[in-house]
Amino acid sequence: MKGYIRVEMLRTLRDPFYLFLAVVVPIGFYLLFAGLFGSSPHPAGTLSGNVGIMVAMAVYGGIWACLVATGPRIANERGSGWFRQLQLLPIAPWKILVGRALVAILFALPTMLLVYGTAVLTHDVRLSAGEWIGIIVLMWIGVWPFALLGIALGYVTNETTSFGITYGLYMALSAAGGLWVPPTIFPSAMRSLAKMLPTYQAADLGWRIAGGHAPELVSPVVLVLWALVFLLVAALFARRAAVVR
Amino acid sequence: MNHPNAVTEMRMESEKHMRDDTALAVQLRGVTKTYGALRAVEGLDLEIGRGETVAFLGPNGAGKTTTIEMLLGLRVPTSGSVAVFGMPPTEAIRQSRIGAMLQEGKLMPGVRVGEFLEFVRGQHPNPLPTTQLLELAGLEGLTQRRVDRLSGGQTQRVRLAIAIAGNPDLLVLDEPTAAMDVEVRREFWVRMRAYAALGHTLLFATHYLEEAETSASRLVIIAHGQLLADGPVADIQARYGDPCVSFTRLGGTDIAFERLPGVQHCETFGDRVTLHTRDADATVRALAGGAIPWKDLEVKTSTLEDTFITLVHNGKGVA
Repeated sequence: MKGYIRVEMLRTLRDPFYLFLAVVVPIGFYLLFAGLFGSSPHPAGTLSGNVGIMVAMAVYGGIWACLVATGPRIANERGSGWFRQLQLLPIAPWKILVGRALVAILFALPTMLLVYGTAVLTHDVRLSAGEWIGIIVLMWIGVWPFALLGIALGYVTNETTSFGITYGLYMALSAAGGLWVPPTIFPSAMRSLAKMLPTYQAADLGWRIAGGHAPELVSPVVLVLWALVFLLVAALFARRAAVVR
Repeated sequence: MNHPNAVTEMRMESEKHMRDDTALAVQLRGVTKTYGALRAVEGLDLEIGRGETVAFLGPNGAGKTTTIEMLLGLRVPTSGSVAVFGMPPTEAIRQSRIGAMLQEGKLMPGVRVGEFLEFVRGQHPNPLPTTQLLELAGLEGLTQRRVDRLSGGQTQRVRLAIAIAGNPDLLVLDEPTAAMDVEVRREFWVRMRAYAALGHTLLFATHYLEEAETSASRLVIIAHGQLLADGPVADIQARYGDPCVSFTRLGGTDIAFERLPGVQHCETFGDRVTLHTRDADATVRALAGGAIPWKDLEVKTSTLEDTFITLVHNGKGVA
């Protein structure tokens, strides 16, 4: 599996789509939004806009790193025949999927770190060492379920639909989860919906910590539940794809 | 391709590997595969011994690819059994006993040839040494190239390299040369023969009969999912390959040439007549002694292609 992870990492580094959407876009959006709204207080309460937007954009970038390394790639490779070729190697299919998920979450980390770095350098964001560690570690773990969502999408979609569906779902989950507009200014029905989404709960880990609070228990509960749902869908469709007629 | 030491070493390796069991390389018993109402393969029996080089022939839709996919564990037969070295195909794959080149399928984009082959080698317990692999597949000098930026012929060579990287005892190729030009195809078969010469079993499907003739010791011909003929090239030729007598007729368009001794069937193209005959001597004697005016007589033994076409057309029984 080590060998597989190695080649997958090399490929990801050379993928311009990944580099643009997972690295350049979140940083760009951070600079844009923090420039526009950063000085006004983030409606989450005590949090300044600079920090609130930083947390949202780190999640936004981390999620895309997880999705792009899995969803469209798996769909493409199932269509192109590469998966069949892999079936002819003595490597277990589950190792391939675990390898993919690991690469996805590994690449999410630097993407998120770059957003934090940008916030520190351009908007002078200051947090305590403990807060930084909490944000970096917990929010990173918070985006892991999206690697499972990506694998599920890789099996549910096909070559032509995969990128569109993955990107569409990503945008929808990001918007509804309050990564674009703070959920505190949502109407109450939308706010209740937001709290059920993994996007919101991954970001809320960071919002709480940056605001000097401990994360709420509901965050890990919601994230784990979604992870299980994604895993179930992925396993179901991967199994179906593996059965030869 | 002269690496005597490497070759001897490899042969010893594979002999050691093979001594522990004596099962046939391939054994299909009454294999049937249906897709809804379509019977792609019907009651196919096939045994391939170790070290054989077998060409798998048949018109499009004969069931070659389906058979190969069942042999590789990519499809499950509707009924019948498939064993590779005495075990289920998926197990043989897990043990790196089979290497295969499928008809199509892209490679992993974004990686260099060298990186890619090291990954594939790393999956096998006993891979070919890198230098030997590159040489056998003809990839020296291409290791730094990205696999998604190769020409068609180069891509096929990488796909061959994947198939042989694990030093498999059985190599299965499904129309490997379909996308190659004449020169590349010739080079490819030189490599394949070198690999087979190491003591490996080789099974390949092809539409090019000259490949079958020059690179296989045995032909297996199927049509409509059933076995038509199976045996060494020379035997099949002798059994099914009828000679042809052709000449230019001088008048007499209403003559029934089919009635001449030995003649199976007759083709005419303008005034040129070609008689497919069981007994060329008898046919020629009858022509020479008869009253039919003709000139430019030629007697040819049929090519493998003629034999193949006759066989597929007539659907003759199994040898």
